Amino acid sequence: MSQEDPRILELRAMREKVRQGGGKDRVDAQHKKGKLTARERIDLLIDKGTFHELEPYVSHQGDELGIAMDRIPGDGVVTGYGKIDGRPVYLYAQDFTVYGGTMSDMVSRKICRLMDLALRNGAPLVGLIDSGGARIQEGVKSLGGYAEIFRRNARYSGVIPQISVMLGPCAGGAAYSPAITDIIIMVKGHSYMFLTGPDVIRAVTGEVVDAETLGGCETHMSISGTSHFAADNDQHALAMTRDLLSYFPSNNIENPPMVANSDPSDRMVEELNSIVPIDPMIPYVMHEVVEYLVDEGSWREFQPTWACNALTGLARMGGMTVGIVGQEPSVMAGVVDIDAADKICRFVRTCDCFNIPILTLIDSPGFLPGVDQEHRGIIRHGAKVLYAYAEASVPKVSIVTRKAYGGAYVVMSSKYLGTDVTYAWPSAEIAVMGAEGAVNILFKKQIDAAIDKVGEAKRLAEDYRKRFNNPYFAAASGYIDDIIEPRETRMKVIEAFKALRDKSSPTPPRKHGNMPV
Amino acid sequence: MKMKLSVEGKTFEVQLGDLNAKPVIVMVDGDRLEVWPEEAPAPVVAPVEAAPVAFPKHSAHVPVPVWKPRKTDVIPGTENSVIAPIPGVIVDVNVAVGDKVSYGQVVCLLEAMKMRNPLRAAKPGVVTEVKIKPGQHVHYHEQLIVIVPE
Repeated sequence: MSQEDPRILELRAMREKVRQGGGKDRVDAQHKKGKLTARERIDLLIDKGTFHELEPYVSHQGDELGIAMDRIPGDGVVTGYGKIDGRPVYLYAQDFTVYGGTMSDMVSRKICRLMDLALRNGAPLVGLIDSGGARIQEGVKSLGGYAEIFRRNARYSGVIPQISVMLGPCAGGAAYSPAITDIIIMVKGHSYMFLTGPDVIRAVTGEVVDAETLGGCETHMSISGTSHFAADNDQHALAMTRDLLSYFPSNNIENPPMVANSDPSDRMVEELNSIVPIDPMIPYVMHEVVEYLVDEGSWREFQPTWACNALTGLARMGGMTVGIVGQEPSVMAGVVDIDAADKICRFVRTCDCFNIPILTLIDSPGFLPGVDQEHRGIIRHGAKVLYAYAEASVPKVSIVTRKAYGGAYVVMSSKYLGTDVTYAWPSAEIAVMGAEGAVNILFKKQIDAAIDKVGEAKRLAEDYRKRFNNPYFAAASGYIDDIIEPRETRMKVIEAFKALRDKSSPTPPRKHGNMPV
Repeated sequence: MKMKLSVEGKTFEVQLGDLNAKPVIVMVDGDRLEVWPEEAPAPVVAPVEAAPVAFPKHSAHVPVPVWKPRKTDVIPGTENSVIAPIPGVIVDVNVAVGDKVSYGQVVCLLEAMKMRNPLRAAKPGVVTEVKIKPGQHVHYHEQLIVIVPE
């Protein structure tokens, strides 16, 4: 047998060196922290054997501060393309074992090239983030590198789905790249995001805080609202990424894939007929309504522990991806406050970008009253919800389950905001304001003149309730398309979305709208 | 190390040798036994297969979300309190000082936004202070009931 060509042997040796990343010690250190290496993560994320790496030999070009001596191929990021459930996807994985996954000029060029490819080919972009920050030795080149990535994140937003999986630190300006992407998944325990770290904060403000409290998973899941999903570990986060992508189209021209399932589209949801208590003062759980309505096991809630008075998430109904927005009467009575407005607005726009029809479950008692909310700008925040719904051109179906009061009903996808089909349950109450408040304004003179003021107010309120605390007055004026039994809801919603599948509602030509933020 | 062990009513006199030796020598009623302890499991290396993801199934018994104030909204020293999530009127107080409460237990009812909102304990503990009575107006983020966790 002839001798192997030494040039081929050399290539094999080089490939092996690339595969080892930062070397055994650093890989062991990574494992000890409970983290996987960039390549192990890619293996878990991508269909077996479909990953193809690009530019593995790129290394940094500078020799500032003597780092030229130590060149590791790949330079701290693995980029390439592969398939998830057979659909193409582009991804980059920062390799913490190589220079701490820091951002260099060449790292940025690799990532940007990949993003350009993803855009041209209309395929989702997944970023696996685990980086110590900017490579200080490269100075402004590293900063420029970040900016190149941010620019692409922003310009490609709404064209291809972008998912950021936070598997390690992401500090300083680097946190802005995930912030622009559509979905952020954070791993509990070893991922964190912040702009100024604990040391800087201590030096400037004297506040003592650790990284986990400042910007860990729990913080961004329940306080800041930055992250959408929490994962227990790397494996969980990557499995979530695969799962979530199955709800999205590959780009803004495609429709989301249909996923067949055994849950019948015409299933009568008997439980829903008894879910809304007769006494309008007693709350119920809207999450339950969602679970009953959607295809079994398909509900994926976005931001489940932040602004819990609103609920947002993706599910399937009759195999179609549907974005669901709702108000949760069991938390803060389901009022719209600043955080809930932010949560709903962002989600509605995510759905609209990617042709995902929106189902809105309305139980809207009002906006949160208070000086604090008004001074913090509930007007401009609430306006975002209105703007997002009015702008969204995807099929929109709304169900008024109970309360629909005043401005807080108008913004929640009311019929004349452009909702295609609006249904109400018989428990619906559609009015400008509650009975007591309304009669005190409308019949002030009459009440003041009465001998029994309290009795008169009560009688008038009861009268008002009879007229408005039902959906028939609204239906008579055409503000509701139909009144349905709650158990029919699943069937009615699926049929509505089928009828609206080819909806076309082009926006007037413009650069872009000017949404209040 | 010597000890007496009782197994199904029978008593054995057991003497253990050096536990770090392999095999470990054990004397049972004068009989010499060699015991090979199981090797300690290899250090955990990250598994390569994806773990199955626990997504909720169609349960419809969703736990009621318990409202907690944002950390930034909490007045220092009131971390253990039930705080009014919205302004309103207290219609019922279900606990008294000294009561034990469990996670998610309803401690009072707050009428606000056309709803009687049950306020729940975010942690199990003991009620040490009740600052409200039925009929009282409460402000946004007012401290209502103090529960010291056990």
